[in-house]
Parts: sequence; structure tokens; C-alpha cells
Amino acid sequence: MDDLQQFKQTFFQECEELLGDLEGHLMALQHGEGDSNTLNAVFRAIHSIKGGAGAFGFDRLVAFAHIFETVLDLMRDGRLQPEPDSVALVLHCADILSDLVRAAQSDSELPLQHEEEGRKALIALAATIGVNADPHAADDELAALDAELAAQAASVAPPEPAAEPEAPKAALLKYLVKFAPRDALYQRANEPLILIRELRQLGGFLAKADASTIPPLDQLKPEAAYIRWEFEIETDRGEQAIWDVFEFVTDDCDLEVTCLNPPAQAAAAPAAVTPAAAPAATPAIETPKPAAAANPAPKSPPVAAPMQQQAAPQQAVPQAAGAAGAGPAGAGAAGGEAAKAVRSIRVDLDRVDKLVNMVGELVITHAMIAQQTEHLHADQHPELANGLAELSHHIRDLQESVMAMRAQPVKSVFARLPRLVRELATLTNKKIRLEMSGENTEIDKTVIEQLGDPLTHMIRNSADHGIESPEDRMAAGKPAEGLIHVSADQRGGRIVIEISDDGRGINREKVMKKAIEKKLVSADAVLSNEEIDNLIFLPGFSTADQVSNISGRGVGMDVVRQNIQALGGRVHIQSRPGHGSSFILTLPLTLAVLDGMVLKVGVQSYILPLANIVESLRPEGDQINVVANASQLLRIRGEYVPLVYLHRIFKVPGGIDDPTKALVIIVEMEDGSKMGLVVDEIIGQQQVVIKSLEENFDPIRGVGAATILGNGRVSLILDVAGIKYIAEHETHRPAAIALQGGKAQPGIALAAS
Amino acid sequence: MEPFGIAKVEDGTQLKLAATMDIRAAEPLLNSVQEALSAGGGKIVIEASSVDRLSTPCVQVLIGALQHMEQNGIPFVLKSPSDAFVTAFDDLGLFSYLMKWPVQT
Repeated sequence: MDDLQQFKQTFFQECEELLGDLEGHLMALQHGEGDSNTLNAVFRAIHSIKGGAGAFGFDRLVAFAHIFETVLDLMRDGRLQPEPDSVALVLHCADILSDLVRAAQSDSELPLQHEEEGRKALIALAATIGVNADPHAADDELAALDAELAAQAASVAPPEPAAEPEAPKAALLKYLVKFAPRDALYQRANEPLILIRELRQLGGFLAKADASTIPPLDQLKPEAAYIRWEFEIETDRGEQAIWDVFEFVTDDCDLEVTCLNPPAQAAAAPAAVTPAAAPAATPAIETPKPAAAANPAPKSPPVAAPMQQQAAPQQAVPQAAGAAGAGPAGAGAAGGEAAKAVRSIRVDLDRVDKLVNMVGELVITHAMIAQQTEHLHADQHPELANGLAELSHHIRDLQESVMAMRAQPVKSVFARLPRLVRELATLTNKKIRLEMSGENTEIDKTVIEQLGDPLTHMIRNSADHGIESPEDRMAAGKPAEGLIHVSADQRGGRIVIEISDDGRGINREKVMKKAIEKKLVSADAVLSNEEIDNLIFLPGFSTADQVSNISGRGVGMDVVRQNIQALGGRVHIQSRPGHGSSFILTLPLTLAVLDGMVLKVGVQSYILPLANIVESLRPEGDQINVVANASQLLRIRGEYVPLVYLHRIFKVPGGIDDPTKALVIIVEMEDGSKMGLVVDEIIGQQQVVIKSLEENFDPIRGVGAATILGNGRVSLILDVAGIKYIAEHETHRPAAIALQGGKAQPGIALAAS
Repeated sequence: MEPFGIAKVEDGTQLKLAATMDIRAAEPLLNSVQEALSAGGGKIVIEASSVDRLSTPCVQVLIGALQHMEQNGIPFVLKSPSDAFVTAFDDLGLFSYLMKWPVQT
């Protein structure tokens, strides 16, 4: 990947983050919770996107972002009030901006009218207070800036040093500035005249223009850059003040600043710096000038990558500084501060994955050493035993640290949802409010990347099938506005994501009828409410009377389930007719390692995820109850738990059949139901590296993945929900036996083998 | 975009510059200059009294045009340049160019 591609990739990654943050702030605005800080944050996000886009020549994106930020600027100045209509426009325009970013990323072309309506609405909004937000009217802004500069020149001549308190005081130094614009500088509507007039404010000034490069008239291109300049500036404001003038155009010009009479203490430092390196010396990328802030000119920040957010400096990384090599001499103290401000770095995901794999191998190697040395008595080899214990501790810390590197807040996926809900509300003519919680819950990046589609489909389903029309809701005594709540939470070793709505809930009668019609269940089947609800995950199932373009094509919920299962997760639904439905997704925190218990059944070893285990015991004979269908139930502290013989599930010869001679491990599923797994013995607890079977095998029910044990043997990692399914369905036992405290409890399906 | 007025005058063709000579005006200016030149005959009068904003791209076109006229012996005159016009040339360090051209006040 060449440098440009790398910068672009960084730009789009940062755009994703900025758009995600933007959605969060816009939600606050939409709910009337925004303040000036919110508007500032929104402005900065748009401004940063515009800046980076300008550097890569994404002109449509720049043009739209410019008008957008102009309007936002008017809002944060208080000249435009964030009324509901204008906030709605801002939300709509954020969607358009997002589209333009994605089009730029995918190198695709949106229809020209895509942003036109939003653009016109923004211009019209600005026009209501007499501001022209049209970027083509850039020179109006320049005129305004001209006027302001002229006024400043008239009223503050010579320049008032106190006006720039941040500029370090220095001796009067003379600088030679060589400035040669490139075509892009004009194409982005920048104007040397403005820069020159700003330079003039710094002190003694002499401009020499070289217009000899202007070609004959028939070869002249009106927007090309021909004239170049040399300026002599005598100023006590320091070299940085000169760079600041060119802050937004350094990428679109050749610029050299040379101190002609360097003071002795500065003599060691090279006097000229490259334009690409210069921005790194500028800690504050975003310092809109007074006139530009009110009606900003479409300037482009200087380089490709450094889209620094003042609000979140830890997320911004000055890539350009790294790409350009060492920081510029002019950086001085400012450069030092910038370096201190950098709290994070971007690392290629492949490198992190390589590290994850290495840690995985380390875990396996450690297990092998531990197994090879287990016959040695710890008293005779205390140093070895202690060393192994310490090694185990360090490996665990290392593994957790590496996993933390891959972990990301689910916010990045949730950030797309507000827009989705807005669009769905428009499409379905419904009023829908989205609430989110737990956005900062962290989860493995791979899981996050694959979570977007299932989540989108479930939200669509809620909006299309769940939430009723405003009229129906009013008639049912509900508020006209429906609510979709999306939450994320970490429970034990898993992440639980819940999408709930306050809609009509699942019409079980209709679901059952459709399922029978489509021959998905037999006409005489007796299913629990939960089982009926979960029919919607069957392939080809849809209750939509008319196929809509939102959902209801009968594809999707089964795909959702497959996708979630492929991530090692599960999805189930809970519904209350008339009150709404909840989709509950449970996902593993990581896809790389897990803490497991090594079990022995016959001649086979299996790994049972520790997160599923509640307890283990060897039951007494009187604890075992046989019910009418020959299923066995273990009575434990007044609760009845069905027993499932693992050797029968996997048809392993030689497994112990008598539970009083075997061991029962009580495991708990995400839905809270329990099951007693009967195994021969427990070998011990071990952290195992998850090796996916999917590359080489079709999904195997009851088996989540595999691992390599310390003795080098492959062992299967059990999927308890899959085992429960096998116990319930493949052993042909009735599925709806539920007992608690000896009483039948409808709605929880349990079975025994 | 305010159009450039091209008109026949007593001894040639007059091109009246617009008040706003921003970057968007550079291309129409170039076209208008070429149109005025192709009108043929007599002097080219660049009337600059209304200019209250002048961008660098327009300055480049004007310099290119006047150099073309100089090199091709086409008589021209800059008529009544406004303060904004002169100031822009001055600020850009191009006052010496302005001084070389015949100016009619």
C-alpha cells in the first residue's frame, strides 16, 4: 500500500469515528439535551471530515461539508437557534455527509441530486439570517475577511502585540518566505491575496511576485497557479506565526520559510522546514479566524491525515508527522506539547492479530510444559513449580492485554442505528424513537465488524413488524411515538445485546398459522410460546401479508441467526403480545481464547466453557428422579435439572451410565435454563486457544470450536445450547417438560436424554 | 455571475470588468478577453472602474491578456482602475506590472 492509500485509509477510519461521534451528539441535540459543547463537537467533526476530504480532493464532500459547517457555525454562535426543524435538517444532512464519505471510500459516484436538496435547505436556513452559505460565494466571504482585515489594519496599526497573547515574544527576526501555490489551492477556493494581507499584519513586509510563468493567452488556464512569490517579513511574532498564516494551504503549495538572521540559540536548528512536516508543529489544527468562523471560507486543512479533534485528542494521531519523518525544527515547545497530547497510536490490525496468534501459541506451549512436568512433585522442584505458576499468571495478563487491544466499544456499530431508525420511520410513516445504552461496552473487533448486519435487520424487523402506526398505537392507549431500545451489557464472559420495542409483540396465532401453512411445523404440533416466537428464525418464514422493501421477504431472521451463531453467539426472542418484543443476542467477548474445563467422557476429552458452569457434583441416588418419559431429573436444592449424558449425545463408547458413579456438571444457558451434563471425570481447568472448525467443516451442533491440548491432542469445545437442542430434538423426547420445585412451569423447555 | 460588458467604443472595443472578479470570474474573463480580441480592429479598453474585488486568478488572466496584446502590437489601455483593483495588484507585489500599462483615468 503506498503512502497515499495509507493516508486515505486512515482518513476513512477517522471519518468512521467522527461520524460515530457525530451521531451521538446529534442524538443529544435531537432529544434537546445538546448545549454549546455539543454544537462545537458537531462542528469540529464536520470540519475535520471536510479538512481531510479536501486533502484528497473529494470535492463534493468538501463542498457539502462546507455549507453544513457554515450552518453549524451559525448555530454555535447563537445566530441560528437549534429549533426542531433545523435540528431535523442537521440530522438529515449528517446522513448525506455519511453517504458522501462512503461513496468517496468506495470510489463510487452518488447521483448529483443526492445532496442537492439538503444543500439547498442549508443555504435557505442560513439565508433566513442573511448569511450566504453557498461555497461558490467564497469570495463574498473573502470580501468579508478583506473588510475585516482592512478594518483591523486601520484600527490596529501597528499590530497590537497583546492581541496575540499566545504568540511567544521574540526578537525582531527577518524571514524569507517562498510561496508557490499549486492549482489545487485555487480549486479549493483559497486566495493568496488573503494570505498576503494576513502576512502583512505580522510586521515589516515586502512582496515580490514572479509572473513570468504566466503562459501565452491561448495556453492559459483560468484556475491554474502561475504566479509565485517571495516575501520578506520582519517580525517579533516568531516563525510559527508565519506557518499559521498558511495553515490551511500547506498541502496545496510549495512553502519555505527561512530565517535570515537567526538568533544564536536558534542557530543549531535548521531554518527551513518542509510543508508536509509543518502541520505537525501546529498543535491547534482548528483555529478558525473570526471572520471565517462566522462564515468560513472553504479552506482545506493542510495534510492528509492529521484530522485532530480537540474534543478527543487521544483518538487522533498525527500520521503525517510520522510519514514526513522527524518533526520540524520550528515545532519547538509546541511540538513537544503535541507529542504529549498523543495518547494513542494506530496499529495495523494484522499486527495485532499476529500478536494474538503468538499469545495463543504461548498458551498451548505453556500447557504442554505444564503437562510434561505434572508428574514431578512440586516439593522436589519448587522453583519449577513457582516458575510455571508465574508463567501462567504472566501469560494470562499478556492475553488479556492483547485482547483489550482488539476490543472496541460497540458504539461504533450503534452509531449507525439512529440514522437507520430515522429512515425506517420515514419509510413506514411511523414515529419511532431510538434509545441506546451501554454503548461503551467493549467487544472484540471481529465481532463488532460482523454485528452490523444482524443488528440492522433486527431493528428493521422491530420498526416494520413491531412498532404500530401512530393511529394504532393511540387506539391501543400507547403514545403515538414508538420506542426501540438497544442496549449492550457484559454478563460474565459474554456480551448481551438486546433490541426491544414497545410495539404489538408477536402475533403467535398468526405465526403458528403461517408456520403450518409453510409446512415448517406439523399441524398438530404443540409448541410453547417461546418456541412459537422462535419460529421466526426459521428459513423462509415471514408473516408479512405484503412484502415490503424493509423486511418481510422471509429472508433475514434465519440469516441473522446464522450470522450470530457463526460468531459463537446465540439469539432468541421474548415477546409479550401488545407490549412488544425483545431480541436478545449473546456474543463471546473474544474469539481467540477461553477459559474452559477439560472433561473426560469415555476415551474422549472435551472442553466445557467455564462461563457456562454453575457447579459440579456427584449425586446421591435419591437425588435422581425418573419422570414418565424415562427422562432423568436431578433434584438439587429444590430445583429439578434434566440430566444429559454427554457420551450419548456424541455416541462415545465406554461412558459411565450411572450418574452416582459419574460427575454431573450443572451448566446454565443464556436464557437462564439449566442442564446437568453427565461426564466421567473432570481433568482440570485450562485456558484454551480457540481454533475454528468452520474453515474445514460444516457447523456441528453441540460443538463450538476445537483446541489443542497440552499433550498435542485436538479437543472439541462444547456448545451447551447446541447440546440442549440435541437432547431436546434429536433424541425424540417431548420438548415441553418443565419443572421447578416439582411444579410444572410453562414456557421453559427442558428435556433429558 | 455578473456578465462582462463588451461594447464597441469610438476607437476600438471596450471590456468592462465586473465588480466581483473572484475565482469564478476567471474563466468568463478569459473568454471575454478572447472575444474582445477577436472583435478585431482598434484599441482594447479594459474598463476597471467598478471592480471592488479582484482575485489572483483574474489578475493572472489580465496579465496574460495584456502581455499578449503587448507582444502582438494590439493597442490597449486600462481605463479608470478602481482603488480595489490597484490595491490588489499592489498587495500581490505586482504594482510594477500595473505601472507598465497605459492607464486612462
